[in-house]
Amino acid sequence: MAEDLNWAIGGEAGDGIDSTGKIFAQALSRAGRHVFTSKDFASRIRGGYTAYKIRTSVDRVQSVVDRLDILVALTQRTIDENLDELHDGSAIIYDGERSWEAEIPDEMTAVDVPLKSLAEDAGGAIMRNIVALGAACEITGFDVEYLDESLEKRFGGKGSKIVENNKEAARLGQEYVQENYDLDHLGYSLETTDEDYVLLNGNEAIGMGAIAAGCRFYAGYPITPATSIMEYLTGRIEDYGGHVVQAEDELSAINMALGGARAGARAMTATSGAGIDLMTETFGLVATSETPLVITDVQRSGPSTGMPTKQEQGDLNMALYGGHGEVPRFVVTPTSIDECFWKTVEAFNLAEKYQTPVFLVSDLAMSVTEQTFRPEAFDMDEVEIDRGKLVDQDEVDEWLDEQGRFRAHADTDDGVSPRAIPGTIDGAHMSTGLEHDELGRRTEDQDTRVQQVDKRYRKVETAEEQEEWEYREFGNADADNLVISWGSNEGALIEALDYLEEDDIDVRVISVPYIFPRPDLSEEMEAADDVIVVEANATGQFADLLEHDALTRVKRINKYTGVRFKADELAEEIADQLSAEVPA
Amino acid sequence: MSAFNAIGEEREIDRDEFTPGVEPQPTWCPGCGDFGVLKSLKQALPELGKNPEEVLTVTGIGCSGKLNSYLDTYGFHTIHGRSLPVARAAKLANPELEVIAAGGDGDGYGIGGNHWIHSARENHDITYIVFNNEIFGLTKGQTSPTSPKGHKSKTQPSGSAKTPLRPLSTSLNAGASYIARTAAVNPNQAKEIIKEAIEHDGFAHVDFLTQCPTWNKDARQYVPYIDIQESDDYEHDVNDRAEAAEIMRETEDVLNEGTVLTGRYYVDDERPSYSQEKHAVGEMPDQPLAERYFDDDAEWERSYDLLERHK
Ligand SMILES: Cc1ncc(C[n+]2csc(CCOP(=O)(O)OP(=O)(O)O)c2C)c(N)n1
Ligand code: SF4
Ligand SMILES: [Mg+2]
Repeated sequence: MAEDLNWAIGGEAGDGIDSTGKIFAQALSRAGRHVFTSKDFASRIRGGYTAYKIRTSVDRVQSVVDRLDILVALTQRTIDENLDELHDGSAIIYDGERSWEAEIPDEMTAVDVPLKSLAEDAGGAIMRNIVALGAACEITGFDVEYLDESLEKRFGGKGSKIVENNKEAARLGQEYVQENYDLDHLGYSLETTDEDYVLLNGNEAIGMGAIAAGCRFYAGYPITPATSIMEYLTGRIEDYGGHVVQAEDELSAINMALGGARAGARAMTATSGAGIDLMTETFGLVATSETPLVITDVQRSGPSTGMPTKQEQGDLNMALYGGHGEVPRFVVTPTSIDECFWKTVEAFNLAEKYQTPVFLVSDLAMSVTEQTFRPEAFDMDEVEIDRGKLVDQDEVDEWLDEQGRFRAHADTDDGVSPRAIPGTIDGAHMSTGLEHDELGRRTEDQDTRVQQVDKRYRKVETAEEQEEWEYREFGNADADNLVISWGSNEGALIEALDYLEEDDIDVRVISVPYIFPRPDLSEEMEAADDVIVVEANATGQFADLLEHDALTRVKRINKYTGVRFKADELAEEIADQLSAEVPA
Repeated sequence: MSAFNAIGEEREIDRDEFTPGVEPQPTWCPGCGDFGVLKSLKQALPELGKNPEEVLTVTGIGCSGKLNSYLDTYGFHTIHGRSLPVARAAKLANPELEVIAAGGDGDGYGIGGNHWIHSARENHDITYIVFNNEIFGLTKGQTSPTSPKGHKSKTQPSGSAKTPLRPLSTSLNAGASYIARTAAVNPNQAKEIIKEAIEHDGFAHVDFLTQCPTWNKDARQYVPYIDIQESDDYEHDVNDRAEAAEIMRETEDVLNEGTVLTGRYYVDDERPSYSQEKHAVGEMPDQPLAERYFDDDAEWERSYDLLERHK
């Protein structure tokens, strides 16, 4: 593996940490380097520690690690918060002219740069973070010119003067370090390549996937960390003939998405935490009225208001079982940022082919992480749209009963009924959350009830047969040790394999993007000596499912600190678990 | 031309077309005011030349929520209190549909009250009919937000201690651009008001007094009623917000004393609807969101350029 660099900028929320970090990430991406970013942040807008971290390498990077090489610290707390990750070789850039006295461990390289004064020289104190970026370039041997394009992109809208000032600020930072320190780039020389990467986070990938999949109606209510999907779509979806609604609450949001879908538009809502609770009552209505709907849950730490800006995979049971009664549904859990795009496309097709709610379950870690990909990873020509049994005016007649009434819930072999959109002659029908017959008439007739329940579940059976519910696999397929995970832990696990290999530990990793229906893993589990299930929750919701599926016991790695898994830490835990006893 | 063939289809529409083959006989109790709403819709829609299949009727839960089982249009029966979000979204997705939302006083003014306020505030171009029987009918007579102060029920045995909600005034304050009250016992006025409400561009709210002889026995049957436009005792300019506010307040005050005032209260033809405002700022496309899906000639628009900004 090529040498990687771990860089961060941290300060108070409101210090522009995020946008500064993003500028650096973009510069690295444009220089043909891979990046993988993460954020430490508090939910308050101002006050409270926040940091933007970048891991970069010419090889693909897909996890954070417990190591920080270069830190731009705007506050002492930034240093204190990261003491565990900093090491003897780390360099800390800070502004010695600021009021706080930096306490930096002796073994580390303290790089005192008058960020504010230099920024003022360039045209304004507001650019001090950019000065720090210039300083970071010098320390790591990364050409400061790579920052220029990102600065143009970030500040271009504010006029060329601002752009020029920022470029100047970066150069002043770079020159200051060059003139005042003899660091010899601390041994770094950030290699560049000709690769032309795209840089995006999981929520952007979901938003992009939705538009590509033909989503034309989105309704949502702001909640961290789902809001950025809505923000992504707003101002973009209109160009493709769509519209975004900010509803008065989540009850409205999901019911509006449902209304848009009834009228014939592909529709989605996205939420998190408490928002998914409020939406729950509508899950059953979507299912019984057989309306295609994509419901995205970007999980955050719960229960209740929990830790709104922290990572957790605690909503699996909610997605699987939320809602009273028995609600047929699909649960799709993208395992990486590029997969957020593809699984969104797939979710829309599943929803429409089977006229069933589809839960697209992502999480906070993926939503805030920016990662580089080759553009081909999002090849729009590969996007296919299948609207299922949506009938137009010519096809409606095939679905009328002898009295000419449209059979909107016709009991078919595959369970899927025709769908006529309001405005279509001969297609008028009732649809309701009450149990109903083929025509949509409410009924409590026992036979009809059984017919309709069976029909709705038959759709799931059909999908189980006709669609692919494959898992993703990494490591050594013949290894005796099997690690299983769902959702966003995949990247950290892939990198953990490298660490484990160093210790001669052979592991097979299975990463599961479908929870319902899901691949049957019983054979794989049986073939392994040791099975470990990794998930970011306290109770092991997925592990419970797998134990049930395979009628066996598994080992578990659960993390619910609010912080995502890191590759090195995971490798250690896996090694520990392998030598431990299987629970009784 | 619309891609939906029922929309704008020009032909004579017969009144019977709105009586479904599916469930022609309503199961409401004899004497229930809900019949009045159904009847006025069955008259109003053909008179407006509406084809049943270009109409979407969205209802809530309650006795009133059964409306669309007895009205042959595209019908969607939501959960308790949520007819408005579904209705207004359907209208946004396909503005050429005639969208009518309907439900009870508990459904619309209680559990779904937030949606009512915001649908009015945003002036969505739909018709909202509230079957106001001042009671929870379906669940057997509990107190509702419009039950009069002192009204006794099994859940408020000593009589409701609360002043009833003011449907007309609240709607005016929230921003509805057409507000009327009619009563099941006044079928001609009801039909005309429903027609106006459907024709109105913007959020049209009709508070429809529907007697519940089964559970609200001590309530009057809303007779005698007074049409404020017909009576010489009342005079106000329906376009004047202040005058409307005043007469609404009086109407709400005297209802529980036995004086039933009905009629048009407020009409604002100038206020742009949600979609007009969104269209003006470039956030609502010209073509209906649902339309392109049926256009055989249209290729799926592939969003190649989306990736560009991530470079
Ligand atoms: C979430 C929820 N809570 C409670 C109910 C039970 N419920 C059904 S209808 C209703 C009230 C009906 O009153 P109203 O809306 O005035 O309609 P009406 O029957 O009078 O026409 C209630 C409480 C429900 N269906 N859903
Ligand atoms: S209970 Fe009342 S509201 Fe319900 S159908 Fe009977 S009379 Fe009408
Ligand atoms: Mg009622």
